Amino acid sequence: MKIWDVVEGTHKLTHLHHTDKVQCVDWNPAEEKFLATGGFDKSVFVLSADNSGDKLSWQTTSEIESLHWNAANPMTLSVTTESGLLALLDARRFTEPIALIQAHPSQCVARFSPRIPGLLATASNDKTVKLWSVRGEPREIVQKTMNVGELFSCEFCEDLPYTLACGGTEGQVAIWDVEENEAVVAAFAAS
Amino acid sequence: MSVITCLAWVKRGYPKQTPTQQHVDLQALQDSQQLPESDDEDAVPVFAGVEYDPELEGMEDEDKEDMQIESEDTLLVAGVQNGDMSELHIYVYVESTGALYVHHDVIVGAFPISLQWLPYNPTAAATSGNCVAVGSFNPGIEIWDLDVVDAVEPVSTLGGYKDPSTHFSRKKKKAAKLRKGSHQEAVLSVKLHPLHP
Repeated sequence: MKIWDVVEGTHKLTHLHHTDKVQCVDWNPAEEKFLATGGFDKSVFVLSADNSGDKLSWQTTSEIESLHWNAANPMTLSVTTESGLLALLDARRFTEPIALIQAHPSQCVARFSPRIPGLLATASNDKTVKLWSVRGEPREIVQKTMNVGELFSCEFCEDLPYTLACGGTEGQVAIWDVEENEAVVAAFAAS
Repeated sequence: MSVITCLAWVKRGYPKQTPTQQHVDLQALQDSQQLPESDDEDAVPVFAGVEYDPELEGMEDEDKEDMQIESEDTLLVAGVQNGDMSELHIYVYVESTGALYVHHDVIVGAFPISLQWLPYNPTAAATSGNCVAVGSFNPGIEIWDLDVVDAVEPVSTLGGYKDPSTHFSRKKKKAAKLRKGSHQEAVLSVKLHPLHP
């Protein structure tokens, strides 16, 4: 994992804490030095970018596919794996996940909405997106087949907070305005 | 067979309303020997000294209108692997109508894996801009200017090969030397610092 100065175009620092390929990285949205990384070594780390202090680590049984800090609750993050597991971790109690959910039968990625607190989407190579509420006890709200093949990516739009884009093996982008769904409205209308 | 491998939304207010069009004068490039010899079917020439046409001067009015980014448009970048072609498709999404179409596309150096939108162009970072950093099967992180239609080279590359033409040539990659500090293999994830972009 490397840190760059984008404007200078220069490499600043290399971290060698994973024993296999690093699949995903995410800066903490509140603590400027903190970031999380996940790898093929089935490990998630939270560390300081300048290599100071101790690293937090969490091990699972499958390669890490994605991780995303929850901006609405910035000590917590979502982690997904190649086996379809969704884990919600808290940096204050890192070895005891808040939740471990078999979200999909196989690999998936997860993204929090940047503007709707507690709204999380997972997209999987089972061709579906699931929406979750992680306010309080995490729960599934709705599942939808996106009709663009096996999904590799999903992203909420910061300017259109209920708008989710996803894409995969059929080469098409699918846009879902998740506000069309009554269960979503019921779960998040109060925000 | 095309596959969408990664996505990134563009923040509203950053894209130029009228994208910039590049004029590529092939004869002038050949005369100035900027075109590398084609020793490889995969080789795509790396252009240098490309002239920019601000405000799409060379285009017909109708085409110009089609390229305009309206205030209600939201841009979305998709990393696409289309057979042997590695591309970015820059989509326009119009929320009020649900319309979604490809505004322009860009050919990148290798299979894209990860995208990070940037609110500036690193070569002109004092003002706002509209770029995307691309993690790919190449060890270099290419940064492309999304305001330029028909861009033929990234505005900058973090790490990567010493000889930039290597990025587009599979043959050369085997023996190619990397710049100091570069990743040695594919770049699977690229993230911009949210507090110090």
